[in-house]
Amino acid sequence: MGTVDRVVRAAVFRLLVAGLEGPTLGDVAEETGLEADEVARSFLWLADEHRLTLSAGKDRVVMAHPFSGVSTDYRSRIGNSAWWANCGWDAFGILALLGDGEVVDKSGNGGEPAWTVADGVVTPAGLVHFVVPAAQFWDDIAFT
Amino acid sequence: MDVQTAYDLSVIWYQDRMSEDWVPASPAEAEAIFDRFGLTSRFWRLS
Repeated sequence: MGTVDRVVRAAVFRLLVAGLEGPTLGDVAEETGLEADEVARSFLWLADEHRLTLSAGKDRVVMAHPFSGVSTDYRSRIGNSAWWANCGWDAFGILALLGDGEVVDKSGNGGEPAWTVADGVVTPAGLVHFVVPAAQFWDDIAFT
Repeated sequence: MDVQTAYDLSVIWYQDRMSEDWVPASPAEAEAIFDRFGLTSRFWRLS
């Protein structure tokens, strides 16, 4: 991974953490001061290397695990801030990165927090289902 | 997987994800992380 790719990937995460949903090529260019074509080349390399997933137009970040750039059934909340997650596990992953908070599973309970993480302890008990074997996670990452 | 294990695994899995220096875990490294959480079945093997 070259210097530009490192800078671009880190910028994508900064923008997602700041609350930007689906950072675009233009957003990252502005954030980093890089030229748009440099960011575009880096986007493609990072996607090829499974560092992130792009929109069909290759100009917007759809996934930068554990963050999702688009709305999903899973949301992580800390205070008044919230982020979309790719799956239930990633919703915990966001809290693992950013701190204690709540996981909302819209598919299961209509938008109410399903779990709370406080001092690293998750309540109430529950299960996260993994459907796709680990070796096949990236065969169809959107499905995974 | 119970949610506490999912959270604990994610702490290890994602701990350095936002660093500029992050690189993906190799298959062996990833399997070693899975092993720590008792995820040793064929489902969690990468090679």
